[in-house]
Amino acid sequence: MKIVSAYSIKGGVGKTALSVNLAYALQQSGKRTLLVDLDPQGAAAFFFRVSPAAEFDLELDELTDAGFKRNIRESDYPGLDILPSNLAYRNLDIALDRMRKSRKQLRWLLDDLGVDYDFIVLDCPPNITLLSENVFRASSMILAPVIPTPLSERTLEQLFDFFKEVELPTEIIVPFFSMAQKRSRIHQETIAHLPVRYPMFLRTVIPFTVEIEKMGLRRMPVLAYGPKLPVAQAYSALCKEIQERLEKPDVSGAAYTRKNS
Amino acid sequence: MESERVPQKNCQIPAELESEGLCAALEPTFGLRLGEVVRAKATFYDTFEWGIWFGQRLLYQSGGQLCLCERDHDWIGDLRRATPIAARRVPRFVWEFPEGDLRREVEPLVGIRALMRVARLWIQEQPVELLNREEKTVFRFDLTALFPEGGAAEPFYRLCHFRPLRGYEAEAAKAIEILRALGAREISEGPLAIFLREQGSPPRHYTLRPSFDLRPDLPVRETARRIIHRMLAIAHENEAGIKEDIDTEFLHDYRICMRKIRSVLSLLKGIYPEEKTNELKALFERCCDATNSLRDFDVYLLARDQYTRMLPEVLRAPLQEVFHDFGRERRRALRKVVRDLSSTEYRASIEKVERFFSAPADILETDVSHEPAGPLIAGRIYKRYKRILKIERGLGSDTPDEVLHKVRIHCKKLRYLIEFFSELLPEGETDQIEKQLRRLQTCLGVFNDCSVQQRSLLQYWERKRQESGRHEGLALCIGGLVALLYHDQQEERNRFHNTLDDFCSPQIARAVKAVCVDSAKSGSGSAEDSKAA
Repeated sequence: MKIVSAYSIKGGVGKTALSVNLAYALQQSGKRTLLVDLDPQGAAAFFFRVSPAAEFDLELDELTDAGFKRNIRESDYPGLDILPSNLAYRNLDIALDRMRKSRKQLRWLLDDLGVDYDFIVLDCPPNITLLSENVFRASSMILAPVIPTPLSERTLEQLFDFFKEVELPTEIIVPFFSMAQKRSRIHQETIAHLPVRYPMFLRTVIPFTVEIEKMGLRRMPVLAYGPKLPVAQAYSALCKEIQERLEKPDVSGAAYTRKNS
Repeated sequence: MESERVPQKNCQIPAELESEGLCAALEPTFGLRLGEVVRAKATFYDTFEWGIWFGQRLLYQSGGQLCLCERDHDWIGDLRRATPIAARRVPRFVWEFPEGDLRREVEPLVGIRALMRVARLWIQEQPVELLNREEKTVFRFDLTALFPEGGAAEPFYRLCHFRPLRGYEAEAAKAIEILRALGAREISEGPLAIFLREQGSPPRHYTLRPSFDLRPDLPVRETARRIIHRMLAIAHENEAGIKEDIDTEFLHDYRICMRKIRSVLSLLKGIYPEEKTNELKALFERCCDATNSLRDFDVYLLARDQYTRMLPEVLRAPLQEVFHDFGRERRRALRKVVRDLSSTEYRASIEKVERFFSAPADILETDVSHEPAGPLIAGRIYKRYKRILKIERGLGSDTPDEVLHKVRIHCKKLRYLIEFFSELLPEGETDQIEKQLRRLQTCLGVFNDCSVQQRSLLQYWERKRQESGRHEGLALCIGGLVALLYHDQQEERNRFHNTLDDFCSPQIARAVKAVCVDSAKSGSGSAEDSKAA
């Protein structure tokens, strides 16, 4: 079982669109997948028509899988399950903070949940919090959508700095360009030069399109309802690249397997 | 919310309930999405012994696929393996299957038995999805209608196959409640079981070691009658398979039945007047002898791969010639067997003995015919074992093959005694003896096969030598095989000495004695034989 997280410090960068389409692509390739919606907004589950989970008690000494398991819902695509978001997640940080080994609690929880799956995809809330650190420690790969602007470059830098500060392996960060505009000179320049500094960038670029907003109307992944659309093709290529990277070590030689720390 | 369990995956629905009626009942509660109606022919396969059925599986061909699935309430359950195979190309034997998981799973269920078509049905299927207000699927089921043949207007069975979704247990329970109200109920007898029963070929357990309903106080003649009557019936069951040449096991089992009957007659010597015994024995011996040659070719042809592997590449081509000849000779032998089995003479004599054994014989009593079977059998087991012990003491590495053959015959008779009359012996106590006997018999069996095969290969060579043409390759190939068989035979001989040592150990001797003494006590009367125990 591998855990892949869609994460960004900034909101509105195409994180949820990635999680939803990646989870669907994994299901289509025959992998048993669980999409965990950690964002209290609950958008990822919304795209699969899954209602928010019933409230459950987070005031425990440690996170146990029972409450989470009860809330797992099978999507319309056999083999893809959804753990919908819960308003209680807004208190997850506080709950985690009270616990022993508060930085590894999520990893233990996911290990328990993961026995039924080949992949767990985490759709994470923005900001760097105790929850994000839990996510980093649990994941085999952190997928970071980057809108190709100078500001985003700074955000990416912050993420790398944080990893170094708390001594996490930066090799698991895998950025890719999201919501890129063909006609924007700044976008095109950033796409050209940023990967020079960060060679771990995925090659596929996800274009900006209103089609992603339409996903909210259709309430299904764009890969499911319009696989021929250019943006769907881009997601398809991106997911293939992600799977390839997960299966074999990247250029820098780091395998995306968690270290037993 | 406690998750509710969905009771079972399939349920039967009234045959007259069509999908319109079903949908009308579900519509007030759920959104409905009806899938396309698909109709396909499915052909089910199994062996004479119903190995797949009793292995809790079903094997069927449909839509270009050969599928192995779980048998769930006598219908298609979860798919285990599938492989693309066209309807007309379903192989008869598992070794003709394409390599892969399906073959691996079917192999232990069928062994060397042929797959036969056991049923052909038309399956009409329609998937139904139930949706909630957000148009999320919350429950799925397939509506299945089964037709006995393509053109039939009315299905003989309708069922619902549930495919619940994780996390939507409450919705599943609601849907099932609605279906129940329409008459859906748990399957008591599954569709395939019904179909097979109505077709007159229900799955049945097949065994060469049936229960004969024996008791220690039953007269020995009646005991023999029950065994022989049952074995005759099993032999008869196998005749059609031999004639149609479905697989080699029909003949194999037929011969075992005949041999067992003959053994019972000789093991229980004296239960009929001598003349009658000899007449019966001769008949059953003829039945065996008439099929010897066919069986020999079967054994060779079954071992074809094994033989091929034994020889180096250069000698394999002439070996194929040998098998080609054997194949031809086998066909000839088969024609003769079929002719014999279909002859009025054979039928008449078999019907006559069937009548004879179907009711207590109305012929002269003998000294032992009315003895209770328990003590008599116990005595004979003990006698036989002692005889084996005696021969064993005189055995050495230079003992001629004929003596080993004699041991083999004694062991076989002892095994038959214990096996046939196991119902008369104390339960569980014969296990250890039987296990050792089986080991010994396997060993002696291999030894004997090696010796027979060497002889018949050399005979074959003699025949070939008379024919014109060059036979160098063939000579090398047969020479190689004979050498290998001789080597195997010697190995088996060494193994035999060790196995026989074990069998004659004080431990087994004590076990045999215990069995015999116990059974002698359990019967009434004191037959002369039981004194030996």
